[in-house]
Amino acid sequence: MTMVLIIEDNPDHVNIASRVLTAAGYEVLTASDAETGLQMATVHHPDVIMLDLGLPDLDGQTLLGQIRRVPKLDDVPVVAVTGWPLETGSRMAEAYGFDGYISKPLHFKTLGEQIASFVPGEKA
Amino acid sequence: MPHYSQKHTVHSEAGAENDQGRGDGVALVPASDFTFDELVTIYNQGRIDYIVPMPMSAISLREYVRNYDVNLEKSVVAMLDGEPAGLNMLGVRPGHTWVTRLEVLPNRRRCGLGQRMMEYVIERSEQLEVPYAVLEVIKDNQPAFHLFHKLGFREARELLVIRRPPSPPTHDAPNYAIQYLDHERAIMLLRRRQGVPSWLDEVPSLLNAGGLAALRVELANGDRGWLVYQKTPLQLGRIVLQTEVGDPHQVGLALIHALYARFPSTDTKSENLPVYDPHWSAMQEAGFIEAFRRIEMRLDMYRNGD
Repeated sequence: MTMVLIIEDNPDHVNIASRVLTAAGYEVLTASDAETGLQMATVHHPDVIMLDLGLPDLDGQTLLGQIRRVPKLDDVPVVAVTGWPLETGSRMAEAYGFDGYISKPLHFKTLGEQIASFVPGEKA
Repeated sequence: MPHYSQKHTVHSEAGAENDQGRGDGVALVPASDFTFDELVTIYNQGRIDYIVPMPMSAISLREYVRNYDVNLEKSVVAMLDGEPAGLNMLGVRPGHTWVTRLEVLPNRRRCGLGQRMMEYVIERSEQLEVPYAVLEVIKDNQPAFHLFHKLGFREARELLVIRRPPSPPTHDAPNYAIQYLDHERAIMLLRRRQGVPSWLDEVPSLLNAGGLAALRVELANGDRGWLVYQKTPLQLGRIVLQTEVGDPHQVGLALIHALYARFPSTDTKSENLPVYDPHWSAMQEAGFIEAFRRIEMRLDMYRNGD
């Protein structure tokens, strides 16, 4: 089963994403801060990481750098998730080397397809 | 939300409104009556639906209070029906105060709590007899901007929060000679800084934050300048550029080139660069990107006739 790790501190967003992705057949793990997220990513080696850019202990851009330093995680797709305006969010995601960008608010109808587009071997 | 079991002191200083007297269930309590865990919970819940939430941990809030001289005795928590509903903090330095972290929980908005807490910290600023107070509001946060304007704050300038992903310098820079300087020398340079820094990068903020260093460059044509920065294990930040002689763009290109030649794999975040800073064009050329903007606003306490 394809595993998605959601690193996000907003419980409402975690709840929405978890429900949608579970219903779409994904195994979902969640972490509410960067330290826990990095630890879970290292232990579980997810297929995709959804990473909020604004976390309480470390911002998402900096955490991405930490994730990329873990050898077995360097090829895991990491998708930036943020409520920033589209242009700013996408520019930031591209500049920092995220594999993609998803805008908040998250949408029930499209989230599963968005995530599928980042999973190797799956099609949106 | 944690359980608030401690007995909080209701604000009732002489000359101030008695907030329980209104009978609307609101009490204004000094923030010093709360723990950092409690304060950060209020803060994070108040920003949960923001465009740029910038959540904090208790550790980072404690650091924030220390770095920016936030006076918790003069900061306030709004209690509504016995539960925390909002927060507003006040930084205090000689000559001015700084209003920061005004937050109201989403389900407690539109009942005047923000204004009540603003009036509380403005009153404390008046008691301190400072000539003015400043604050920053995220650009496009219209409700907050209008509240501050209604209370007399006026727009002073726009400030940039900027990032640069880790990479060695990729831009062209003029040839330069470089000198690396330690914390003490960095402080000496900051004291000679031109321009008006925002609260976050005033010298006391940078001194409190610590761990500063600097570099100085001189170009072949005699143009020269310096750059002060803070290096933490994961990030560069608190970047201040100054051109002493010559073209700020060329000096800026050289300074940034020198910085990332030294730290090619370090991420950078720096706050409150004025939009009109003469080095911004060089910084953009060198890979800095704008994350978002703030508007700095100022309230002059003593108007004509006061």
